[in-house]
Amino acid sequence: MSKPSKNEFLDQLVGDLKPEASHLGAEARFMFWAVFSFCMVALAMEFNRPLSIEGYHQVETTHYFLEAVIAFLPFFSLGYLAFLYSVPGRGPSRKWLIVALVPLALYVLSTVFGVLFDRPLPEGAMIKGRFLCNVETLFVSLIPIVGLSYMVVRGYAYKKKLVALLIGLAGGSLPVALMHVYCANAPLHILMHHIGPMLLISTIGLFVIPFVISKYSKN
Amino acid sequence: MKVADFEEQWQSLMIQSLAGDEKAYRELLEAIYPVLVRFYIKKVASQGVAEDLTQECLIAIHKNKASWDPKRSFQAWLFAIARYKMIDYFRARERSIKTSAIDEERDQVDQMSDSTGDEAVKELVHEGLAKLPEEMKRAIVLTKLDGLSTEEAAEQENVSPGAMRVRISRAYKRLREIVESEI
Repeated sequence: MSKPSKNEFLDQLVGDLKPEASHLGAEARFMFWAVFSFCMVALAMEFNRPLSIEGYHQVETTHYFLEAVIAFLPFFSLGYLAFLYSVPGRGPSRKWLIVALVPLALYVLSTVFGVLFDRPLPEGAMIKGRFLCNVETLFVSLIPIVGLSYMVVRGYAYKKKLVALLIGLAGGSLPVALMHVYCANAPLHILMHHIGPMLLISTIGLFVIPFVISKYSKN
Repeated sequence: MKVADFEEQWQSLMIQSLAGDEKAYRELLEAIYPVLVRFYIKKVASQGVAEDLTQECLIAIHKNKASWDPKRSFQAWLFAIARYKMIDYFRARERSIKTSAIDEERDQVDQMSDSTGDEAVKELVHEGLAKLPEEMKRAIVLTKLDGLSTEEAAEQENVSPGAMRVRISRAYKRLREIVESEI
């Protein structure tokens, strides 16, 4: 089939024009996703097993509290970047990508140091942990991951693997952060049962999400 | 006037287009078409390819209109999509060059055995094939004798199509060296 002439081609595009429903910018969509995901994941965890008062004793210690704060940052920083990378011309430079990854790196490193140097548990820590917190972390992370993937597919994500990595880490870090409070525990437990599932789901996402983007986006 | 001077005008036309205004959309497409052709022609040095890329870019813009945020620069969005299409083009071309390099190697080996019709040369090719490392031999057998495509052979050998292309290319090169040394 021969290539259409310029006029025929433009006629086809104009003839296919449909008014777009009012759409939100990347920031508004990000806020919607962040609030929705936070509420849904917190509700799911609370419904599964309500927040135990025992965990508070550990969260009250300065180090653990700071870790909890840092744990929430990747959800916002990496999630926001995933939105930006789905808008042509707005994907930030590598420098900002590294900056956005710093909180996650800090959180993981702090936990690893806790394991290596055997950081003592404060009195009243929730040593037994939360029943099947690893499985819970894995499953509830699907809420932000599926939500973010859906929104990214509606945009124009060109760097599919990078976006998939950001979606996996951002979505996976929300339950990790909440679990830091809901299942306040020793560094080794956090590393194996909270961070481990997050890395697992991110790795799976790295293979699945690019395929989903290719199949369902309009690129 | 520079392209940047049209930013405001194009933004306004795009906003009207998003609302379904066909006249504004036509005007916008008419305005950006030659700009995109010029943009591509600097990179690919071919009017035909530049026009193809322009049309592909406009289709992408048409399908993804909603991804533009009216509060942001229209041209940054437009040229980002234009760059994506150009990268896709160069990637596809690179793949096609690799494939044609393999075909060339294959043709040379074919010529060596077919042009003369000499049984002795065919025998040398078979002997050469036997001297190849197992995975190189399988690459040739699958694609040449069994008639599989590179992708099918890659799937059968459980490697990526890129790795299979490299393997086939090396196999033909090695086979040619073996046969030439025997001749």
